[in-house]
Amino acid sequence: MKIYLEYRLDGSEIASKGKIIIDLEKFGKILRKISSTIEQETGKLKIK
Amino acid sequence: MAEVALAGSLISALGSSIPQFLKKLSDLNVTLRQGATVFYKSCEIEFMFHFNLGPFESRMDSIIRPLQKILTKPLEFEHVVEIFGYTLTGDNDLKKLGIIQIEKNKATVDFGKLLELKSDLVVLGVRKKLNPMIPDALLSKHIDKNPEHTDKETIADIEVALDYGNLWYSDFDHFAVRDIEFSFNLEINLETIIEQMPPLQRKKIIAAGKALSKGNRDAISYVRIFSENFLKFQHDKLSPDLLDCVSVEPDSHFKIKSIHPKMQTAELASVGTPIILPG
Repeated sequence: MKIYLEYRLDGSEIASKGKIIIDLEKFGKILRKISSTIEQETGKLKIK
Repeated sequence: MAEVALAGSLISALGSSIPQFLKKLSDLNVTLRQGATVFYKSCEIEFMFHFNLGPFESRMDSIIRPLQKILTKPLEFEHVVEIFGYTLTGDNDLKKLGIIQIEKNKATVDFGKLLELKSDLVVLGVRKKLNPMIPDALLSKHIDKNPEHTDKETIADIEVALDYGNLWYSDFDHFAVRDIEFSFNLEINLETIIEQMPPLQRKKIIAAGKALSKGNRDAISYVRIFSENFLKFQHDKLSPDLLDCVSVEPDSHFKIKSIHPKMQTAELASVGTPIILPG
């Protein structure tokens, strides 16, 4: 994933450290949302 | 040395003759403070100068005579985005007084006239376009290539640093970089994506893989619909959900502007048929 960030650097600051955190539970919700759409669209297909 | 060249690039953004003039003012202790603010996104730099002209009565000896040779014509600034100036006492706008004149993106400052002002403290601000290479050269950005994966989170360390920071803070009384915007790539590994999918879906993918090897048409349709739906993931309509699942610390410094899922191709087990998943 490409994450675009805006960052503030002012005054006498020279460097800042931070973290990018992906909440996998929330990410899973997105995947389940897509999966549910796939399920609706493929429900009639017979895969054997 | 790279930092010297970069410092030169910043100062020379003012124009070829102005740095020399400013040096002279500094030698005469006329410049009280000088600051620079780089606007990263718009590729601009704003210089701010506070001049102490001293008492009007003693100005002829302290400033005008030593500067006489270079005060014969107004200072010219090119590629100006904005220019302003005022006296700290008397509330005098240098544009209204005809000291600053602007024509299109060129501006002139008549320092000879400026020295005739009764006020002893004058502020001058010049905002100019900057070489597009410079803002990027000022900052270095890093993301840890090996993010930490836990059951609940994927965490990657990031660092943003102002290169040659000590140089800027010694050259300018105030130095700042604003409107910084950049991107990081953070990959979610395939195992994590598969794990987050509903178990029924995982079973169906495997079943589709096996059925594909037998030439099952419904399996082909299934894989196509599956991939198409994940490709839709790149569309903006899902971005609020994505913004909700990605956070940055400290949020006082970093703000997420947008997130674009990168799609990755995964091979279906045993048959080598590709499916598309976000990563």
